[in-house]
Amino acid sequence: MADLPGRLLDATAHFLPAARPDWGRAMRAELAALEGRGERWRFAGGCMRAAITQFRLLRAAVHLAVVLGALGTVLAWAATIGFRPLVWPLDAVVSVLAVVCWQARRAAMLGPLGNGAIAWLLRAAGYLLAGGIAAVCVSHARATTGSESENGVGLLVGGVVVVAYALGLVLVCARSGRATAQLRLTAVGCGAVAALTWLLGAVFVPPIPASTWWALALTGTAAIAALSMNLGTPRRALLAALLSGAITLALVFCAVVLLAQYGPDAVIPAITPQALPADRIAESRIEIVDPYILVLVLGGLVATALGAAAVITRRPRPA
Amino acid sequence: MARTRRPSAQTLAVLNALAEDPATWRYGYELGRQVKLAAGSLYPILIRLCDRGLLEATWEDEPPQGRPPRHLYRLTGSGVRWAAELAQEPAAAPARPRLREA
Repeated sequence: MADLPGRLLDATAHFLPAARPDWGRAMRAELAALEGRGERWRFAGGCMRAAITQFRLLRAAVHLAVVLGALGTVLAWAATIGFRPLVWPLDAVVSVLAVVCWQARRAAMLGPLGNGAIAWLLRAAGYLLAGGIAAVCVSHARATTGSESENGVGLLVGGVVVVAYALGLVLVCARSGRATAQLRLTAVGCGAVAALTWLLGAVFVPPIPASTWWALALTGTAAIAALSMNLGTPRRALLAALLSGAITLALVFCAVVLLAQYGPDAVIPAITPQALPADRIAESRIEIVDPYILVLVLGGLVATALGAAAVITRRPRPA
Repeated sequence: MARTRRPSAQTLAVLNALAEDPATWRYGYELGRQVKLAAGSLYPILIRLCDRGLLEATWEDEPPQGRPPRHLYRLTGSGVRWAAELAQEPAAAPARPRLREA
């Protein structure tokens, strides 16, 4: 029966990646040739250190802890949001983002970026952004005023949507992905045309619609158009539809924010009848953005789906 | 073979030890003793060198009774050439002395 160093080395060998079976055997064979008790312990301990630190197990464990920690923090904060319809989409987006982050540890997942300095910087920026969101959540977890709480929710939603878009767009541009340059061009083009149609409607047939149905209908149309231009394979059609939808929703939301801030009074709908006549336009400029928060959240969901679809449909890594 | 970075001092020590007699198969524990590296440092180096095609490995043919065959290592042709190139390069500048040592 093996002594303790032998058992330690047996356990260590289990931690070695499947592609390294010879090295576990080699370590055990070396140990079998050693006789001194102290020497056996030192050798087995050294092998364990090699297995843990050099075979990415430790890095994988830290990565998992960071992802799960950030996920737990954000979900805990999201649970305190008063507006319940927002909580489930937010939870879904954050959970999918966590899965994508976990998968991102796979080498060369971000295709064209590989393992060079740019890839390193991009990943570092991603972690900083994720850390920033977690920090905002923590700092707003004990908000004392309604205004602080609202700001926290706004930052949380905005941050999650930005991360979702960043991940979705990076992943759909990955070399290992199925999206071709033509697919990206047609999808972005359809999204841009749909958003431009919405903008022209708001400017030339004012005011900005107080309901989001028009924006959602155009988003659906753009997705169908992009899909029909990329019918080669179902995977590409799916990516095109999602990319087009995400682009449309993001551009429409940006257009609403810009028009509400800088647009002429004529494009602002009167949606605050309770306000004083002198304040109605100013109040309506603030209030008209609220219905379009749905567009922003939907955009985050679609971008998350885009990132997940890009990961699921990517080409297998060469052996 | 694109290789621009000079390897670590430990890797160099392993390469030099193996390059002393490239035809001879060496086993890990003996090599570690020679270059004064513990298993935790030696095996990752051996694995990296193997992965890069600089080191070849085989199993001992006739191990003593009751002991499993050991893994044996020696440099490949590329490994021998790389070790020779490194031996001709000027060594890296010595580390600056720390204040305490100055």
